[in-house]
Amino acid sequence: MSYRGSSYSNRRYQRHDYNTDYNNDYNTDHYIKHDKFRPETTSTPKSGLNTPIQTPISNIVVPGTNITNGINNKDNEFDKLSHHSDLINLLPQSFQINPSKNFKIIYDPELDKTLLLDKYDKKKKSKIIRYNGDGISTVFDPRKLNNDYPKLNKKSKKFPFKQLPIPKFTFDKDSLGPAPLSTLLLWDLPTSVNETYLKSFLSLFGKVEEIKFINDDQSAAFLGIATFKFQGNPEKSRNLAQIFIKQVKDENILIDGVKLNIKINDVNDDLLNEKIDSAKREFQKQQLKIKEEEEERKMRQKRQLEELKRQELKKIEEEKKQLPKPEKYKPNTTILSNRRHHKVVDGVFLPNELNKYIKDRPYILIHDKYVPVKKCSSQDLKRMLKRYDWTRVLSDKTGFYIVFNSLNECERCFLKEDGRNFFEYKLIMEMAIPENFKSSVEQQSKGDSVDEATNILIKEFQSFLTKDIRERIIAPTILDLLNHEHYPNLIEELKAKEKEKPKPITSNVLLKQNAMSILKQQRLPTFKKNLKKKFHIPMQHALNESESEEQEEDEEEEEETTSRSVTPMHKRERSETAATEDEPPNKKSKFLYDSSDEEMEESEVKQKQEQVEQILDQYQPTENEPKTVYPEISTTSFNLDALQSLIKDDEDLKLAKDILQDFIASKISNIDYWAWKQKDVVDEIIEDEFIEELPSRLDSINSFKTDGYKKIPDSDKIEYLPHRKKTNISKPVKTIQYEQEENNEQQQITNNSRVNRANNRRFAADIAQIGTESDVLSLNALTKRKKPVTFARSTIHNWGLYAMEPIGKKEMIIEYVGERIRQQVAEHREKSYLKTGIGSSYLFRIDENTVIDATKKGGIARFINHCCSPSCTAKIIKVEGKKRIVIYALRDIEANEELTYDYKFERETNDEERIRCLCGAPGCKGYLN
Amino acid sequence: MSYNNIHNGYNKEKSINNGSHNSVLISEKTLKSCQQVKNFNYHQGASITSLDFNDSGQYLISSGVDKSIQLYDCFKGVHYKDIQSQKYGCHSARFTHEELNCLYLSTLTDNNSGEDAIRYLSLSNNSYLRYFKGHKSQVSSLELNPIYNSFISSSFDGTVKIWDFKSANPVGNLEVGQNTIIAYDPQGIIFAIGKYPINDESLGVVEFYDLKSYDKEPFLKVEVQALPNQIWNKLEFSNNGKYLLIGTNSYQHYILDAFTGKTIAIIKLPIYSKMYFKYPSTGCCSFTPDSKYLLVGTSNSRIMIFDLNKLKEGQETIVIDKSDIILQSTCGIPKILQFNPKLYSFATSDTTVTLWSPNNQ
Repeated sequence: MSYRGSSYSNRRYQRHDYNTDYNNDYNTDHYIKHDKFRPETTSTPKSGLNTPIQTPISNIVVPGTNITNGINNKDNEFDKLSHHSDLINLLPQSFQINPSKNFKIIYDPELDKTLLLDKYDKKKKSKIIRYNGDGISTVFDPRKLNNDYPKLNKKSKKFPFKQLPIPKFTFDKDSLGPAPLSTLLLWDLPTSVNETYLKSFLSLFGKVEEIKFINDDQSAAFLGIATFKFQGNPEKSRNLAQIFIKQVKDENILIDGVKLNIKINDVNDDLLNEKIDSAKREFQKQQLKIKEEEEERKMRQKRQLEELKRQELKKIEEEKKQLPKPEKYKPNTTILSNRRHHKVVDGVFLPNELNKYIKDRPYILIHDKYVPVKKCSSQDLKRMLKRYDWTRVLSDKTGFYIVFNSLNECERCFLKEDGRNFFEYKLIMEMAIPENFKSSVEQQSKGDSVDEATNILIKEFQSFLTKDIRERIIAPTILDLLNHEHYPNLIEELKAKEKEKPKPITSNVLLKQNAMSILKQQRLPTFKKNLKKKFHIPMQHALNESESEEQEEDEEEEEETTSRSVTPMHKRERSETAATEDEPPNKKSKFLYDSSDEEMEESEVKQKQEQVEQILDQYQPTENEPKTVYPEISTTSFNLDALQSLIKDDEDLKLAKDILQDFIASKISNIDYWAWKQKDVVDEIIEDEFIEELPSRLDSINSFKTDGYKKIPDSDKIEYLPHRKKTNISKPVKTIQYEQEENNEQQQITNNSRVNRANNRRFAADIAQIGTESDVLSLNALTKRKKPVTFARSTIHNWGLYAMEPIGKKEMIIEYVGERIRQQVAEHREKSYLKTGIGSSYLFRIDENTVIDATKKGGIARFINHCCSPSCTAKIIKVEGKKRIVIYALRDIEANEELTYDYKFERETNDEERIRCLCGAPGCKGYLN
Repeated sequence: MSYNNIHNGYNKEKSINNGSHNSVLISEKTLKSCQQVKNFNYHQGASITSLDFNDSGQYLISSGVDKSIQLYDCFKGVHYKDIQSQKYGCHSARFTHEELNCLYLSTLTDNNSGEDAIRYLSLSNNSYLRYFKGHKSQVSSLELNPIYNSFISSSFDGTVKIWDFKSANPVGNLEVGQNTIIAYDPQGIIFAIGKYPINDESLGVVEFYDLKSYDKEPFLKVEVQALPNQIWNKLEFSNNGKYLLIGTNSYQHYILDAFTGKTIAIIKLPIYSKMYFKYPSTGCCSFTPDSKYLLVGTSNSRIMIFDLNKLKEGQETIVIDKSDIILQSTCGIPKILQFNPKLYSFATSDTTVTLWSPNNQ
């Protein structure tokens, strides 16, 4: 009892030693009484209790106790307990009252809180017991004074509430009545909706199960009706269903553009059946309509089909008349004679010599064995086949070859003339279609093909002519000319000359050539490199040089070829941009090669020769230093930057001018513009080649050092910051380990008592610190109940708050301490915090007008992060008339677990202002607001 | 940006504390709509002898002849825990103010053990916190002080003892000469002792004691005209402190003025409606928390609800024999009836526990 009755006088209190058992004498007395009374009660057994009830009660048969005799048969299965009336009736019913046995302990050192710390004190003091109200003069009803006692508080069990909340019981096996209805009925769904689509659509609103599509029993067509449930226990499912229905009503949710019709199905499926019936009727109507329409359509279709058929027949006939037979024959086949039933055989028999005459045209072969070549003339044959449009009749020792331009004509001839009599012989024919035969040739009109053929022939003849001239006339003479043995003197002379001046490159003209070659190459050149190349001129060349009289000209030519070998395709570009180049016609062909296989026009001969020169040049064995066979791939356009970087001072410029003085300046109207454009082109090229897509956070081509500071988004940080990595998604990571975790089960058991002990310790410590009683009263009750927590880096966001001890469910953890400010001030502060870059919000609203701001002044409770499935909850409680925020545990929290609660931010519709949630909880909503 | 991102704690709080959104006035209409919502059968068909809610109204505890204590969550309406007390038996399990701790009476048949102790059990971890020993015979009832950490108990040894939770021995003793029933007033400063008539008498006595001076004498002692051989099983102050209810095992129950002790009303049920059972119970009557209605279970499986608004101070004793609202139970005789102190729900029980709640649709 917390009120120590000090108002009574101490005068006559008896003092007992603390350890004496005061019950002893009292007990003995008691037993005596028992003995006295027992015979009495047993002799007069209680009547009435066992007397049967006069009036029969209602006929309702209920399980349990039989009301007529008060016996519950089931009880017999268990031990008879001491409060059973049979046993109770054995006990004495009344005793003599001995008021002297009344007592009240006035003071018990055991219960004295002030003695809690000092055990010696306890032993020193003894119990004060007052017997029989000794010293009390009058007794009165304390309720009538009324002022001493605190008013009833709502926590008390006996508070007179006028209204009470109705509990919402969850549905389980103990529930009476039917389960809450949670099956939702959808009707008038568009037929385009299928099960998977509906499922994914509905799962936007919650997890869905038991989707059923209702089909017509006869046609199995979808009636547009579906039923489904939200997952979870019936209550939850129903709640979700109701929320969903409301949402559908409020937001006009569409599925496939059709408004969703939804209701909760009733117990007997009445609604469902009604909907099914109406849908069926509708469906049948539609079915009828469709049938009628279909019949009509069928009639129409029939007519149409008939017409079509007729048309088609006509067409086919026409086609038969008009169109040539489709291609029956594949290239490279031979169709044998009628005697062999036109058997088709792969491959063509054709002597090589005749190939060029036939030129892949179809032909008919009459073997020598059937019609001997020696005995018959081709003229006779020609006469025989004059009705057919053959182009040639060739004869060989193997037989006659009748060549056709057209396959059709060939076939016609073959079909008609095969096996006919020809003098004493029979024309046994084989139709052959060469490998390269193209049907397109056939489609050309006759005149075209003839023209074409003549053209081809003319070209062929021309190329053959040039080839022959080259091969037979020019080549031998030149070879002859080049023969060293013809010029012994000259060789000696040359050798002597070489010894006199070994490096004849210093001439201005030569230098100019080199420089020009750089320009022509249009890449970043180095003079040295090119000069070097000069020395790598192959041996044979050197020989040529010595041979020619105009050495310098030779040099130039040589240079040209090398440059071309490097960038042969740039010629045209070059002439466009800067260098105007005159190509001296190469009159002397210095190298011989076998060109007999190649067909060339005369005009192209020269170019080809040059190419061949290059090729030969490239594949020459190298001396001195190795040289790549293929040139390096260079950038493809004229590079003004490179040129500019080449000319570094006045001297360079002078030299450049010197070199270029011979060239006519190209006409560029605006030199600045041209230069800019050139550079722009280069830039573009660079960009095209080098810029690939970079990851978003490396969104700069420049060095990071030059980049300046910028914020790395949290989602990126997760990827590399160790303390943000989520190993176990369902639980926050324990980042701090304060003490070795004890055996879990043991912990569970000792949990409560441990917590209690810890609380007691803390309380005692508080008292020890403060000392006087008045201070104890003013002590903040909340800080006493605080649990040991600490902050550390969090996986969720910057810092988090962690439990250092296991915390039980519903226990208070910490108060959210901060400045108490008004709403207007809070708004103002939030803005200023945002401006100054304090991104995190430490504002906590208590009610419409009050906000707690822990940003600058506040407790560590502000570090608690948001989580979508939190471990704690924030409650607002009134302490001495002031509202305070207190964090309570929602569930049992382990030591070193991060504490979280739901921030309950207001929903933000503007996507840009929404804050990403990184809690990673299984049911994470993705956003804080 | 507006002040959107200020943590929002107050919205939810409202709903929990005031429960404004689904809080319902206790009225005839709402009482009428009460239905049986849950029926818990966890005592193996054995008789249940006590029901009690905890202070927050969240938990309900029942003790049965099967020597088990069952714990139910009344927020969700689910069975929460099964606690066996096979060694000691159990009766009259009562919650203490601390969450999920309870007191209960042992019901050992072995009288030689001399252990008619009251046991203080933590339901959360099934460990006994303390035994309160002192009674010399079967303890019949115990009542907790609604405010302070103390309780009183009455026993067939003819005494009432006052206990403090911190002490294993009683802090007070009262010789009353017979088995009694006891009750605290809502403020926890007085208690009443009801002595039912014994030895074929028809006068019962109710004594009112001040907790500070109970060892002297009661400050008020009144006689109640009762029926012979009637056993009183419940004494209860209404929450507004005005009435004192005497629940009996007969067809009559009494309402006394809590201040004068005068019998204001006699609740008279049909004469057959006697609630006699082999095992005692904690009574078939209960006030609603607003003290305006009295719920009484009857032997024909009905719950009769009496409107107490007609009772006036200083009135002559009236006999109420007509109930305003009758509810029919289908889950057995409501031989024990207890209203939830914080929720609109009450529990009845015979061999099963039934939760009633108004139909709010």
